[in-house]
Amino acid sequence: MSEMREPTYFVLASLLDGPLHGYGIIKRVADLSDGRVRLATGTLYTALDRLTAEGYVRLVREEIVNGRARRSYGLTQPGATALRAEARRMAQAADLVTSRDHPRRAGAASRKARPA
Amino acid sequence: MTRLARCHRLLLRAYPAWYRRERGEEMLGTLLEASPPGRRWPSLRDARALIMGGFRVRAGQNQRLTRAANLRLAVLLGAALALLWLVAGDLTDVILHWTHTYSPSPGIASEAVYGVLTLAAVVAAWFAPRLVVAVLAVAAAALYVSWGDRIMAIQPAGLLILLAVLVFGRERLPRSWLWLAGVVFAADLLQGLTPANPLYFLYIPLVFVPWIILGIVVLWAAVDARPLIAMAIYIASKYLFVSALSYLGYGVVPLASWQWYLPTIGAAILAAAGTWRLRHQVVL
Repeated sequence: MSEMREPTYFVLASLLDGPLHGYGIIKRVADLSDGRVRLATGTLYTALDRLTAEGYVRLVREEIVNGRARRSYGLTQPGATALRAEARRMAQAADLVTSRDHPRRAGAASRKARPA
Repeated sequence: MTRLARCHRLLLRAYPAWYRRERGEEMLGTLLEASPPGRRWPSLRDARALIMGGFRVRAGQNQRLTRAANLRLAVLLGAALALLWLVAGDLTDVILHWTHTYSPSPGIASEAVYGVLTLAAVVAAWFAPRLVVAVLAVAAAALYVSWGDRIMAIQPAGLLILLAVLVFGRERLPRSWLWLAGVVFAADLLQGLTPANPLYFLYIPLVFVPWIILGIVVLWAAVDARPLIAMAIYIASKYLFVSALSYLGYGVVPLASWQWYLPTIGAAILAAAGTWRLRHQVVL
């Protein structure tokens, strides 16, 4: 996968602790992102179709709840690897900025502290 | 069944039947679980995601392809559409000859043969093994070059070779694109036949068909930009080759300048917009 979009990242991240069904993924994604990423059901299943086709997610359980099929999806090894690679990439990208934040803040703070 | 469930079921009809059989009940369960208690109508967000998701599955866009792979499929469809326009021209000549002329003509027989062979190559691009497509396309190209006017054969032979080369990619042409090829072919074929009574009454409606198709394809670019690129190739192929020959003084009917520069500008804008849209096509 060359580039991972944010909803894809969070769908994979939601499965790190174990398999979840559709609504479980939606809730977990909302929790993990502090409510910022709110997946619509149509969007979730588009993502699951593609991630399943790419081998990043697999169907682990199928049950009938209230007369309807409920399927649970789990993260595969390639899915976990891709997720970690994306997390490292984002951390490096974030570090590029946050590592420069400090000296500037420190400089600003010392300028403020300097007596007139 | 509640009103909300009925509405969700209705929205799920955006997905093709095979997909609903596979996933419909599961998605409905998730939709109902995710809806707040007491809700009677689907949210706008859910409705939009279901409609767009359904269209994406119908467009074969639920699997992520690279930009190059998408572009290859778009050009392949464009070549197929342009070839169907040429086939429609060949077959129109043959049909009009059979229905309105009774004298034998050797040229008509060859037109019929390479028309049918080209049609077979285009249809095979969807259904047959790649090698069969390539063999049919190369055979048709060879016939165009050996039996017809060499200069006029450049366009069909070039398109057929393009078809033979591009078909050797990993992804096949989505079957959902057959409607576009079918409508374009039928419109071109019927338009060629309208000078012959009793089809003259179709002339005026058929003038609007390409514009209607173009409008649909432009709107469809919100879901899938590849048919838009294909239509740009079709327009370019339909107008530019003959215009270029006309400009060079080759034995074709000279065209007024607007007859080639308007399609040129139009095709360039469509191709550029479609290629730009491909970058943003997959939202997940």
